[in-house]
Amino acid sequence: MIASRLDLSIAKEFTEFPGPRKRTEGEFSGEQFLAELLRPRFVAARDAGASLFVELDGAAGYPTSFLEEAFGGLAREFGVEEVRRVLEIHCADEPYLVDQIWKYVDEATTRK
Amino acid sequence: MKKLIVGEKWKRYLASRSRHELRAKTRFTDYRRRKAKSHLGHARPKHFKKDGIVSGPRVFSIIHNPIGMIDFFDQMEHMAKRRNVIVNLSNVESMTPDAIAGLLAAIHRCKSTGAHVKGNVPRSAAPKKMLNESGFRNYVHSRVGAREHAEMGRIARFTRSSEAFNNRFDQFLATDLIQFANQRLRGQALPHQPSYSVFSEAMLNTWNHASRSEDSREPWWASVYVDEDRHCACFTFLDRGVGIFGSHNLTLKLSLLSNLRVLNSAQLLKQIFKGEIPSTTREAGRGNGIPGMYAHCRAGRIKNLTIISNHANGNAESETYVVLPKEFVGTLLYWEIGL
Repeated sequence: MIASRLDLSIAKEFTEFPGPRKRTEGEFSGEQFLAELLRPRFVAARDAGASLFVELDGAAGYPTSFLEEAFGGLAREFGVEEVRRVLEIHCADEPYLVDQIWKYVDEATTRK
Repeated sequence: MKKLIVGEKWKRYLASRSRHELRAKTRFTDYRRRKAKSHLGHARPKHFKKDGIVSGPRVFSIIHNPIGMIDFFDQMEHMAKRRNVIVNLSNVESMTPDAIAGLLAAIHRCKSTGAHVKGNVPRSAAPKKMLNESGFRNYVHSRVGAREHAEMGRIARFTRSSEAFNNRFDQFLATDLIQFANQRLRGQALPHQPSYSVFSEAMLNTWNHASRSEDSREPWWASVYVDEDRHCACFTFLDRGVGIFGSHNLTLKLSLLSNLRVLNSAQLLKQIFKGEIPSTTREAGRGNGIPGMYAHCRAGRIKNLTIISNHANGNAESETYVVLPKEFVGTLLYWEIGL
């Protein structure tokens, strides 16, 4: 049976204290999250024809560079359309973060 | 007893031993001289015997009285080149928490020259209470009985010498300061996402851009103070590095605009706030740090966001951007969260 939705909770499965952009800048970086959780789970969801539901609640906060590296990085790798088709993002604690992440996805390949 | 052996062989031996001792003494002198220098190559600090007094301005606040505070810090550091410094705060009438972090940074800089720094507290009750309860006394020696518990504030710092933060962004330290503020304000040690985000960007920017050389890192101070009268928590992040406009990583556009005086530093700070200046790395997805802080402030998630760096002084809430006649060496980031 193919699941119609895969779940990923950052606070429960990765850390409650998200860190900087790159691994070299500190613990629990966006780069580490992308490599160890987001990318494999995204690929699994896409290959199964399911959506990936990412839950942001429960963390102390999210640095902009963490979010950009993780979600923007995903869009740079798989394309904006593919990410928009597979990904669902939820954050009840700080709802504006959802819009912020979609902005990073949409602008992932744009140089300022 | 008279020495009887005076042959040539003995004379050569004595001469050889004398030369050997001279070489050993020279080597030891060189060794002592090298040891007197620190691993950074600076000469060992001098210790001064004379004292000089530097008085704090009546309005002891970088955000409200930047020029007065810049003069005060300059006087302290100038004095510390030749004398020990006595900081006289007795005439201070009003104070904001950002100035306390600034004072600690100035003391740190003075001590690096070898000067001792001591001082007094304001006579006025309100600034005296703020100084004593801010966490300031955790970083200075106080006479017995004068050390008070930091009821309303916390101050953390990163310096090259003593602290053990290995991470460029210390999320646990940021969380600790935020939870302290919420515990005092709301009675619960809750997180605050925008402040967490601001701390992360501030620490990373200081680590990556504030230092004068590639192989050293700039010290920083981070503080929170809960202002009961105004029902808000005041956060400060301060470094005394090269400042936003002095960074060697400035983009070509920013360098040109700054050097050719097409725009003054206040106008440039406004553009940086609004994300109109490209990232220093020119990579896709970069350059969201300060614009992200600005967005938090404009959306009301944080209040009174102020950045003072080099000659620029900007407040994102009131949208006021001012050129300072004197340079603030470093970068000050100040913001508040309310109930």
